[in-house]
Amino acid sequence: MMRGDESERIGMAELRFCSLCGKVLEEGSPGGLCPECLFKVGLEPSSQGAATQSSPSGRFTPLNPQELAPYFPQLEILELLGKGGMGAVYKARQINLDRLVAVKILPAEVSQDPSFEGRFKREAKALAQLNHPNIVGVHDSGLASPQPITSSPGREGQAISPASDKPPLFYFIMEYVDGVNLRHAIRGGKLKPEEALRIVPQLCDALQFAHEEGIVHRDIKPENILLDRRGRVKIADFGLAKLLGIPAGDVRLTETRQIVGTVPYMAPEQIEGSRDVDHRADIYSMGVTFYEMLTGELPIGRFAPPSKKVQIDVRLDEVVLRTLEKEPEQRYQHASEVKAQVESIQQNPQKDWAKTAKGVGAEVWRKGKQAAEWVFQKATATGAQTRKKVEELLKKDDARNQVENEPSQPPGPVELWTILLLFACMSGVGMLLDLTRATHWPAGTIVGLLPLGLLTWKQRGTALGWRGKWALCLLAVVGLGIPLILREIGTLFIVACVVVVFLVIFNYIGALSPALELGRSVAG
Amino acid sequence: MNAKRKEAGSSYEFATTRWSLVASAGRRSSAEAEAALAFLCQRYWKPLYAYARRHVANPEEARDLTQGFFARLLEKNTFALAEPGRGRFRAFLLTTLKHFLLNEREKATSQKQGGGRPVLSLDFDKADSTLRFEPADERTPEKLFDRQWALTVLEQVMNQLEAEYREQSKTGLFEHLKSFLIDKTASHATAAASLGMTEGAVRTAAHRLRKRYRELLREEVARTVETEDEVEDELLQLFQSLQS
Repeated sequence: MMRGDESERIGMAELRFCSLCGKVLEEGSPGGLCPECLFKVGLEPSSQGAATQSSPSGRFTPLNPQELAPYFPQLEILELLGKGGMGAVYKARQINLDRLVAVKILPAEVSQDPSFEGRFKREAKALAQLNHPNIVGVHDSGLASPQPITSSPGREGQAISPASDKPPLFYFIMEYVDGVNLRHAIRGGKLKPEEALRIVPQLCDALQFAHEEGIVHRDIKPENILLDRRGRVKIADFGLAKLLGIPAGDVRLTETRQIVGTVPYMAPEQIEGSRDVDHRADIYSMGVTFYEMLTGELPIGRFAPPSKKVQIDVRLDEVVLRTLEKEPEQRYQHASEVKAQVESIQQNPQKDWAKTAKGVGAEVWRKGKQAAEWVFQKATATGAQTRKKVEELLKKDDARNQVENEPSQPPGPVELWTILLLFACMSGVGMLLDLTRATHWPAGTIVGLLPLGLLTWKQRGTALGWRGKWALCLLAVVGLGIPLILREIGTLFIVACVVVVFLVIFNYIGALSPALELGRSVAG
Repeated sequence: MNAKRKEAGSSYEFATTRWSLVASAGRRSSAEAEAALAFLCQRYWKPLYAYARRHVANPEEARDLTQGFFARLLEKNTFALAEPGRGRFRAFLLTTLKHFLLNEREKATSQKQGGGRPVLSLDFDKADSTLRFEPADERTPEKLFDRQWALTVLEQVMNQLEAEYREQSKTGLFEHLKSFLIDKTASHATAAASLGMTEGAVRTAAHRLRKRYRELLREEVARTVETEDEVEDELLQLFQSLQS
C-alpha cells in the first residue's frame, strides 16, 4: 500500500490532507492528525492478543522469502511483492510448470477464528470459478504448514504436521501479473482521460462477470487494480474483503476489530455498516477510482464534477456522478451499464456545436446571475426602506398606546421577514389557488387574509392603534394587489374595499396586534 | 468476550471522575458527584455549543444559551435528572440540551437562566475559530453534535498524552512520534535520524505511544458511559460519527 509521507498542499487554499486516508484535514484537528484515522487506531484493542505473527505494535509482519520457503516445497519463493492489511504477496516460480505465480499469505491471526477455515474453503471454491481475463486468476488455495525439506513436493496443503511449532498459513496461489498497480500508475497525479476511459470498461467487464457469479469485491481501489505490460486490467483480491472482514449481518460484533475496505473508496452503506451491502457497493468504489483517475483527487465532501477539473466530455460527469450516488438505488444497477455509457460517449464524440452551445449557455447563465444579483440588491434596499417606514409608524403607534393603555411590551424592531411574510401570504396563497381572477376575487381576498387570521390566533398583548393596522393592511392590499394589477386593475378597488371591511372587523375584535407582537417576540 | 474485557480492564484504571458516578448518585446528589458532573461539563461543552450554534443565528445567543444550560444543569434541583439508566453522558447531555432549548424558545423574552453570569470558563472564541460553521454543511445538528463530541474526546486524549510526555520533558519526542500514531508505515529511520536515536528505540517509543494513546482513549470514553461494557460500543459509534 502506497502512502504519501507528508500532507499534500494544493493551490492557494492550503488544504491539508490526511496522508493516510486522503481526507481533508479540518482546522483544529486533534494534534494536527486526521481524527478519523486517529480514532481507527484507537479502535484496535489496547491489549494485543496472542497473535502468532504480530509484531509488538500488532501489525502484521510478513515472513521473509527464506522463512516462507519451507511451506511451499513446490515453489521457489523469489521475493516479497507487498504487504497490506489482508496479508502479504510474494512472487514465486512454480517449479514443475516453470511459470511465475503470486502467493498470497493471509495474516496468521485469521486461523484463531475456528469458523474461518470453513469460510475460507467455501470462498476459495467460489473464487476459483472466476475465470475472466480481467480478474487475477486463482490456481490453488489451502492451509500450508512448513514441510521438512526431504518431503515430496506438490503435497496438499491441508496436511498439518502437529510436530511443527510454526503455525499453518492460509494461502492462495494466483496468476502472476507482470506490471504495476493502478496506484503506481496514477502516482504522478492522474491519468490521461483516454487512459482512464480505456481502463474503466475493462473494470466494468470484470465486475459484471463477478457480480453475475454472486461475488462482490467490497474493496475496489487503485491498489487492487493491476495493469499488465500489455495494458490489460486485472482486478486482484476478489472476495478477500468479505472473507477477512465483516460477515454480512454480523456487523457490530466484528466491526470494532476489522474495518474492512479503504475508507475513501467505501460506499456509504459500507461505512455505515449496513447489512445490505451488495454489488452496488463495488460500483460506487469503482466510481471513486474513476473520479480519481480523471482528476487525481478523491470525491470527498462537495466535489466538482470531473469536467470542471479536466478537459473531458461533460457527458461523462453524469456517468461518474451516478456511480457516486449515496443511495444504491440511485446508482447504476449493473457495472455493464457504466461500460455501455462510457463506450457510447466515446463512440459519439461531442459535436463542436455542442461545445459552442455550452459556452453560450455559460455566458447566459453568468449574465443572468449578475442581473439577479442586481435585482436582489435593489429589492433588499427597497425592503429596508419600507421596513423603516413601517417601523416609524408603529413606533408612533406604540408611543401613543403607552399613554393610552398599559403596554406589556416595550416597542421592538419589526423584522423584515414579518413584512415579507405578509406580502407572500397575501399574494402567494391567492395565486397558488388561482383565485386572483376577477370572478374569484372575494375568495382570493378571504384566503389571502386567512394567514393574518392565523397569525392573530394567540390573543394577548396590547391593542394596536389605527395607524399600525393601516400599515399592515396596506401591505396586505399591495401584496394581494400585485397579481391583480396584472390581470384586472378594476377589481383592485373592490378588493381594497373588502380589505377595509375586514380591517374594521379585525379592529373590532382587536386581533391584529398579537400578530405584531408575535413577530416581535420571534425577532427579539 | 469476557476474557477480553477482563484483560482490557486490568490494562487501565477505570477513570475516577466519571459519568457512572453521577448517574448512580441520582437524587442523593453528593458533593463528589456534583464535582464530577462539573468536571465532565467543562470537558464536553464544545459539542453543546456547536449544537446551540446550529440552533440560533448568532454566536452571542448561542454562548448565552450554552452558559445558561450549564448553569441550569449544575443547579442542585435539576441534578436529579441524572438518574441511573439515563444512558450515556453524550445522550443525556443532548436530550437535556434539546429540552432546555425548547423551553428557552417558548419563554421568549424571559430572562436567560444564569443571567449571563459565566459558570464555567469556556473559551468560545477559540472554539469558534475551530468549529467552522459552514452554511453549506448538510449535517444535521445531531450529527454535528456527535462529530464534535468525537473530536472533543480525541482532543482531550491528545492533550493528556502530550501533558504526560511534557511531564517527562519529552515534548520533542512526542512531536516527532505523533504521526506514527496513525501512520504505522512512516519511516522510523527518518525519525531516528532527527531524534538521534536508534531505529529500534524509535520503534519501541512509537509502540509505547500508541499503546498509551489507546489506553487514554478508552479511559476518556469510559468517563462518559455508565458501565465498562459500553466502552467499545461508544468508541464505535463515535468513529462512525466521524465518518459521516
